[in-house]
Amino acid sequence: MKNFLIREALVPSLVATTKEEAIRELVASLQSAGYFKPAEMPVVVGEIMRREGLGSTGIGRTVAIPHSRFEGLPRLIGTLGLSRAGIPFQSIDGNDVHLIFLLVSRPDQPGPHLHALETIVRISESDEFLAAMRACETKEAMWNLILETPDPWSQDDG
Amino acid sequence: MVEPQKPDVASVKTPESATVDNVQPISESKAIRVPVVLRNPLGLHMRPAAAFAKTAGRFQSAIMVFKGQRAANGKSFTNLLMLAAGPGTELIVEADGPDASEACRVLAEILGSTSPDGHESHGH
Repeated sequence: MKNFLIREALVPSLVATTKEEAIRELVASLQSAGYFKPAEMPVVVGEIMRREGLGSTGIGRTVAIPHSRFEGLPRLIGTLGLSRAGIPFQSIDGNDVHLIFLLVSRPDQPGPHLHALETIVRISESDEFLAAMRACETKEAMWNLILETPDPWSQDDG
Repeated sequence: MVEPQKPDVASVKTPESATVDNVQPISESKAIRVPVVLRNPLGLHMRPAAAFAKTAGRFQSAIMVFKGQRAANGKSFTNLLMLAAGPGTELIVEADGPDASEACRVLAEILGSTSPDGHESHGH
């Protein structure tokens, strides 16, 4: 996860109470970290919301992975926001979301995006990880947990 | 990750006593397996995985998808995402049940689709 999550853009306590607000807040956090120009924000938010309109990225277990592709990025980037109250996300299991992993990838690099999805899905199967992450109250605590959590990729084809 | 319920084709070992002529069948099961190359230019990302799982769920047969030694329950889109299958990946669709033949045909069609967003079959 440390390979694609941007430390400075982590959000330990989202203010947002709706899906769109959460996506806007997380994209703004990536923009503040220097990955987008202010003028690009509406484009990125719009693309992610358009993708959500095709089917929710709420994968269940209180996790969602909103995402889009965007030209001009050096590589896949992502951030993670925690919602204390939970946010309705039309998830596959119907439950509110507490962990939102937002990914923005280069259009010409599907591989890193696929591996990021795999990593998030696998780590989301761990009750221990979900509980530990939800207990984090600062960016530093989140980042330390991310560093302590090895990517659960299979070793056969990475 | 879900382990294969049956040995993958590539992992089946020939018994020492076996010759080319008397190798035992892989399984007594009537499961049908179809090899297919993933043609989605973006790989098996979230939308085609969801489309596959939704279509697979309409069949009575148990559905598995193999990528080498790795296996996924074809009716679970998160399970499919754990394959991280990129474009051009060789996959095997396995269906085991009364509608296995039709399931394999329809599901292989989804994986073979070149539509980036994937498509959900309406043929069943």
